[in-house]
Amino acid sequence: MLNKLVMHICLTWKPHWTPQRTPFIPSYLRPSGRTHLQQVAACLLGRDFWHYWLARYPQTWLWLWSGIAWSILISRMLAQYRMPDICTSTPQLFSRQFISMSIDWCLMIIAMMLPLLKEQTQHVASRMPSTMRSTAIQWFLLAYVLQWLLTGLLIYVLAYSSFNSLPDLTGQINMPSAWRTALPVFGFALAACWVCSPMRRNAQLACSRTIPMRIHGWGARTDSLHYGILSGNFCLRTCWAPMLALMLAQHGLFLMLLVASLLVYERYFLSFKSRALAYAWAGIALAFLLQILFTSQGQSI
Amino acid sequence: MNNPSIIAANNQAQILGSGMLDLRLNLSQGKRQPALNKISLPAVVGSKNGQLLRHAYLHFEHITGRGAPPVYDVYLNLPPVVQNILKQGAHAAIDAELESQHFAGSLGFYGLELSSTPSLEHDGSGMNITLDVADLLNSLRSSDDWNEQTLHVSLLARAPMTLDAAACIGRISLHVVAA
Repeated sequence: MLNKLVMHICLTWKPHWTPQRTPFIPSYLRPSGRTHLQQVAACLLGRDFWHYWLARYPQTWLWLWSGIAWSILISRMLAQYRMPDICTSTPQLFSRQFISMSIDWCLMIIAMMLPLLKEQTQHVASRMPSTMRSTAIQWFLLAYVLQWLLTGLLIYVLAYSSFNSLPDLTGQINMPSAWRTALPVFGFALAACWVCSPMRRNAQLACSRTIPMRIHGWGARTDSLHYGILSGNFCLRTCWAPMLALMLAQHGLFLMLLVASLLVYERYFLSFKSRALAYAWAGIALAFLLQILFTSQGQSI
Repeated sequence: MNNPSIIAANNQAQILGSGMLDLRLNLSQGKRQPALNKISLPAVVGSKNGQLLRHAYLHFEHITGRGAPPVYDVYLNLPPVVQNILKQGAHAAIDAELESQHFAGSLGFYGLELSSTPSLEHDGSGMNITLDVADLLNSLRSSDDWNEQTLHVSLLARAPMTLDAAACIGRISLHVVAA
């Protein structure tokens, strides 16, 4: 796994090692009669370059939205000196808690899950004319996020009706505190088992499923929405286990970053038959277990 | 190199049978989409290389089905007379040279059932087949009867479809790169 990581980083930074070498600025966009730096600056400021760039790398949208969401999440955490209301307890009215939770849940999904949609975004971009490309991608992403948001709201409403707030789902369950602190261990152990199961491989393959898309008008938009909902559905089936584990671990920011990085690494660099992610989840579960053991030892001393 | 830009697509699912299937790709996008990609396919007049296409791809996407359908030959802009003869099944009566002038390629559906079924090895979206039709389109655009509004795509089975076989094409699209 480490060898592959090093190789992929090298290939990313040394693109001439790859068989398909593409220039950063294509020759037909390069203005003549200037220095190289001026050429690059003129290209970056020009509309044609970004048109070319987004056509060739439509996943730029994903990283852009994800980066913005991470920035907002981090700034909210720094401003409030606590994690946002994805899964933490706040003494607020139901409506305020509901709105706050919806926003934070959306931010979390955009930050963590959008970078995983490279293949789907490229499918949308390649099936649409240039005038429709960016619009179709935004409609696709909107439907995808809505799918996850509805799932989050469903969990929230269920938890609220039973336990009065989402964090109380893990806080008010009538069980010994040692068992309660062990919930993340169980969560990540379950995620590791899920990676090894054939159902997960089936769901992961379903993520690459595509649909025929129209290229004109509202037909193109509705097809993008349809594809976004389908992709969201398949993604839920694939990634529910680590997201559940995160929920049980109360969504620490570092843990969110770690889980998102591992999911991205798996999606971009590993074969769908690889079990590396199972080892990673098992490692996190083990880390939580060791933390519990050392904490309990410290308390007994 | 420019990315190929899509200029036409037919989204109606096409069920393949034993006879000839004729469908149209609308190259002019109507009044509401006057400049889709700013690419059009006007007739080539004289020998102006600037008007030629560098690449043109005919994509057959989301082909799903079962069994072993026959191989289909793909023709572009077949003359109506020839189409009528082919619809009647008189394949031998066609002039071979005329046929080769419109021949784009063949579609073989090996592994169709496997790729149409969601499993642990396939996502079940079906097959995608691409034909390079740049030379054919350039030559058709040089002819007198070129219609820049519509491109006719004809699919002709080499053998009758068996009872236990079926095939359906989800979308046919034309992608081009101008020279």
